[in-house]
Amino acid sequence: MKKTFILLIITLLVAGISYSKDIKNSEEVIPIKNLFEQVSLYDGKEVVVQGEVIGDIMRDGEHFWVNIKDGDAFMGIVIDALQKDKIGCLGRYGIIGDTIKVRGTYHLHCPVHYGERDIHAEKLEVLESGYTVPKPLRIDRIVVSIILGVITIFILLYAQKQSIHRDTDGQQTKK
Amino acid sequence: MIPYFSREDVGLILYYLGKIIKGMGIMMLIPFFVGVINKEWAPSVDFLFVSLLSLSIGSIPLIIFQEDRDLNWRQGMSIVAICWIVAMFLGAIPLYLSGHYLSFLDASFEAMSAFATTGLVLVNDLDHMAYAYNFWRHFMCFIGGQGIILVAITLFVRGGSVFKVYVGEAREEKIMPNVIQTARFIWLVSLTYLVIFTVILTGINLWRNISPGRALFHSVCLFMAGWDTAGFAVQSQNVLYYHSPIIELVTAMFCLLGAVNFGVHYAVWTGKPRELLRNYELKLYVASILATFFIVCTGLVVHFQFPNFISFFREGFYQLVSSHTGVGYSNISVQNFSYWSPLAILGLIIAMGLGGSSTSTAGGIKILRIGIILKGIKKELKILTSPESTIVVEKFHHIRDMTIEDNHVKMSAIITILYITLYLVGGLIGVFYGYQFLPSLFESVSASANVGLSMGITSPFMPAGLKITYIIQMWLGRLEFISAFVLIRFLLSLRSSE
Repeated sequence: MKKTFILLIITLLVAGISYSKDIKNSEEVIPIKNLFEQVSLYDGKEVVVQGEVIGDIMRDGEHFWVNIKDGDAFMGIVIDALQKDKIGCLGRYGIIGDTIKVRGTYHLHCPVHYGERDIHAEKLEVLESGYTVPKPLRIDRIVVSIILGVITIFILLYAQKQSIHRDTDGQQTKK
Repeated sequence: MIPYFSREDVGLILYYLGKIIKGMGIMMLIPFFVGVINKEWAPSVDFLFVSLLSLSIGSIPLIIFQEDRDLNWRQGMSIVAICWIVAMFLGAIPLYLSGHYLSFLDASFEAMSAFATTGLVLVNDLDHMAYAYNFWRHFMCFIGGQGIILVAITLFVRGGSVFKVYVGEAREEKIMPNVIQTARFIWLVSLTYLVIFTVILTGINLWRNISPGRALFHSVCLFMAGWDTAGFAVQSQNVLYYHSPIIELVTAMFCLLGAVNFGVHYAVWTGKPRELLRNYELKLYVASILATFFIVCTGLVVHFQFPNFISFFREGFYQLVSSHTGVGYSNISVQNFSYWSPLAILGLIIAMGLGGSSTSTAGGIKILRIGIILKGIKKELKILTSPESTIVVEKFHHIRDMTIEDNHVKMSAIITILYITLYLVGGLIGVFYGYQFLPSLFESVSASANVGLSMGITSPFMPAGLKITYIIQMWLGRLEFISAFVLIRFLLSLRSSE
């Protein structure tokens, strides 16, 4: 009886470990690039992706679209209102957007969204909040611009003066 | 023997070039203000710098040469060809200063792509680009699509010279008796549609929860690049970014409108809607869209199983409209072409190669030329099969009733042959750099016909030689060869005179 009990515990432990390993595997982040290159492997399957949220959150009926950037690859993600509220920062000029991790179903041609390539998010978490990137003014460019400004004004005034001079000469010649 | 260009020619060319450079300087003040409004101080300084640089450089030849005389044909043509190269370099400076390009060559490529309304891009990290730079990318498309010279005509060029530079920019027809009136009409049509479509797109964007400022910015930029058949977009994903069939429908509408002859627009605007049914070029254009769509459909259906008709239609038809109008907007990723069959891709190549209407913002061979060649063939067949004494007359309606003459057929055939040669040469150069023939031909036709769709060859990491090849193709394609050839003769004559 004792042996059977120990065997049962070992079996349950092994099963538990392998189950947790399976979960860990399903949470493994897939580069978006792979979703484009190995379509047949992932189409219609549950996938986990991550990337920076860029641009805008766009409404589509009761749902919303966000685009995430993972290296050079982009993916449209369909999210709900609750998931939308988790996103605080969108990537734009001078702003690095939130980095989010999304678990959801990948479609090469989504039947709901008129054939879009998308992921319908089931779980969304913010891995890293976005932040502002300072864009300092370049002093050298300001100095060059001021010098050029002075030169331009001088040239334009000189050209204007010459034009008036030429017009006057022309009129005198006509007389 | 090549006729020599005299010192007088050079002076006159530089004089007019100075005027156009000054015009560019004034144009750059618009993105400067976009930067100021959005509190983008560093980009604003860049635009101020380049604007002042253009104004000062442009003023120098005006002081030195002071030759406000009328141009002859070769001077007019040379000015147009040089002007596009100078515009490319000036337009590239702010782009390069933005830090979004790996080299000045890449920035020049993008500037030529914008001015020539091609739409091929080498920008890095577009999604974090400042509004001012991004606006400039789209504004260049608008200036280029309208015609750099056309912009200058309305600003600076007067007198008998205007028609020579107007024709040099690949517009042979005067819609109105006077070229300045024609230029103003083209501006009127473009600005009217700009307002209409900006209102529509902004409404859609606002409804989709995009903030008012960004909704307006996206709408203006989308229109400028779409109407002028360039195909640039505010975000890296192009039109796919919006995930919106309605936006795709609206953009397809103004892409099609932009590829229609301005003469047809004029007829409709002046109360002659029957022109839509009678115009030979328009009828042929519709037939060509249907024929190439049939090829694309066959290629897609045979090779790939779409889940439903809408997915198939949305992917196939949008790419086809984008190709045939020369816009280059895309609602799919480049990787989608991996499951497109060679037949479907060939359908797009044919559509891109044929292009839009003459005297429109579209590129490519142009449907009217194909129509004239077809009429010419029909006329020759009639002559061969009729008694010798028969006088064969072949007519068609294009704004007015016209008769096919041998000269029309000859010129159309020459330009068509030149385009096909350019497409093939570019394709072969791509193969020389190690790319497969079909993608290479696709990219070459896309560059030469100023379309902008890409199968993935165009990237910041492609060989420099190929970038230069595509720049030349975009330039030649936009100017429809003649102005560029006159400039080459001009340069050769300078060498000979040395």
